[in-house]
Amino acid sequence: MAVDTSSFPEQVKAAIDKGSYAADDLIITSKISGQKMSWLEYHKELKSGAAKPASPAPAGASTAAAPAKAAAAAPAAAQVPAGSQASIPFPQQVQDAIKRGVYTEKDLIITSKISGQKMSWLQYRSEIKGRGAPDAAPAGAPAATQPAVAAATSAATAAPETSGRPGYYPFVEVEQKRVTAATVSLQKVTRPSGIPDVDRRGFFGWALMGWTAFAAAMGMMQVALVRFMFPNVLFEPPSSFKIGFPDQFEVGLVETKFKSMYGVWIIRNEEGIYALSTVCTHLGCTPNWLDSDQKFKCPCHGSGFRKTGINFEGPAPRPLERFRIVLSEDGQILIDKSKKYQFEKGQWDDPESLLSV
Amino acid sequence: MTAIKRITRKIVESQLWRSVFRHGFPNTRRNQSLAVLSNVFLHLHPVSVRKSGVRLSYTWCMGGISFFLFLVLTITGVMLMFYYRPTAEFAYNDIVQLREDVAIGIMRELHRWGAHAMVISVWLHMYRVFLTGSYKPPREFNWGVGVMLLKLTLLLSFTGYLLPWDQLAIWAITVGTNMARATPGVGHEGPFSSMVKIGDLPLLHAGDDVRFALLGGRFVAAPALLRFYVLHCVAFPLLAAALIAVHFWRVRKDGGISGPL
Repeated sequence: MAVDTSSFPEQVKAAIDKGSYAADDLIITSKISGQKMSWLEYHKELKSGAAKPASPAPAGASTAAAPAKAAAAAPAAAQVPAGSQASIPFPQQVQDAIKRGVYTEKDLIITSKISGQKMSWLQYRSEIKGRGAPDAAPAGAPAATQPAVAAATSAATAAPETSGRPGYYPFVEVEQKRVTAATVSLQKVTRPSGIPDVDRRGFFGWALMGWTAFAAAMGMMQVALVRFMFPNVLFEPPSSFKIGFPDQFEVGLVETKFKSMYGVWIIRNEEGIYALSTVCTHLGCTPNWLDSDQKFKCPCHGSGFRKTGINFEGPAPRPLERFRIVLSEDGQILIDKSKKYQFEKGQWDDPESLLSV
Repeated sequence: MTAIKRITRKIVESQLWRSVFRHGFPNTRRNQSLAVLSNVFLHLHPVSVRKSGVRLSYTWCMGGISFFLFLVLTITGVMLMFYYRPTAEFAYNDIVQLREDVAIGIMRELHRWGAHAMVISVWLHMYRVFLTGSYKPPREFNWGVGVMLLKLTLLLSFTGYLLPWDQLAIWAITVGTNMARATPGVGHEGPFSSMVKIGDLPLLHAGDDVRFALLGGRFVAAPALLRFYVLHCVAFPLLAAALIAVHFWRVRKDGGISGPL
């Protein structure tokens, strides 16, 4: 069949002219419900049921290859369902309720038979008005035939259209054009205006995204809080330092002047020089060098150590630790506290645990 | 009607009084209940308790004494904060000043002895709860809350110990925090610490383990003093207050104070 392509987008028209697509390739999408439909079927239904379609596809059509570029032909066809009138078979109870003032137009919500989506009647009517061609008003279909089956409005808002001819809407089965009581929902609209309508699925999508983002932010905050406890700069003495030249240290003496600053004793014996840690191996207190007793004595729990660092009394379980000691390039002694040597592991045999002089 | 009665009546019928107290004098059972129920502090407490709940030989009143000591320590602690500066330069001198120069020199002693007493009373409270079987269902959750409160009490005591900044404090905390080196997984001398490394480079060492985070350094120094001060004066008291509220509330919700269910 011939396709009236006048209202189609340029690229669609060109595709049809070239023969890339035929009429039955075309798919249209309702802008109201988002439902898709073959253009052929739509056209057929229009012919059979529509009173006077202004244009088969006034808003343009898209091809199957480009379904996203949807046409919204459907509602534009001829309906200007601007309101209700006496002839529209709305349920009596609805009309009575409006007359009695129980409900106003604002209270009415309608439910689509296709998507099940709910919508305020006022909003629905304004959408339909904006979409339809006013010229086609004489053929206007009653609101009752719209996909979203409407409740009635008050008489005061009744539209001027008085045509009693049955309307048409392609997405509604023909025999369901008329409103039945079961399809009318009389419910107060409690949703404040201005809030976008989100369906259940969409709501959960947003909620999931929101909670995921929230959890991620909380996790990052936790990491930041932990990291905050570790400063980038420490105002502590360096762990590697120079203490002078070897001949400044006498054989047999314990040098205590580096104790408070660097936490080491420097001791020279016949073999060489070594650096003892001032941290008691019991619980970490600082022992004192008792020159008269020739021993290190811890004031906390009474551990005692020989000049070599070997423990011999008190609760200390192992000897004091030694640090790495080497000669630097300028001839001074360099102590490196980041490397320690433990007697019980046999590490005092390491050449860097004792500076031979 | 005497003058006193008239004045009393005028007061209790004034809008100011009635805006505060929504019930009459608690001389009826109804008003006695309302006095507890309509008070934000008292409503944690049940309106009525069973006989065994007020028998001293049964409860030892150790929970109540612990709470009383917590209040004493909060008040005296806030008072001490007006004089104490948590820096290595001032801390020790401020403690001496609190004893020698500040009026009511026993304020710090109240805080110190109250702290010792609270540790003891909390232990005795747990001992009593254990002996009376009050940890059994449905009170098992509240026992868990109580264990957390015990830990907070000990942590408060531990962090407060450093604040005088004398030799005893420094070395006690040195010894105490050395235990944190052996924390599994996060202490650099603890179990699994050798597994946390990239190639030969150990990721857990004295400069980044849990003890370092506690002290703000590799040994007890000025950063440790400040950290312990903040933990002692802000973090732990707030946590303890929140858990105490939960603890009291659950006592009531789990069937009232102790006693056979």
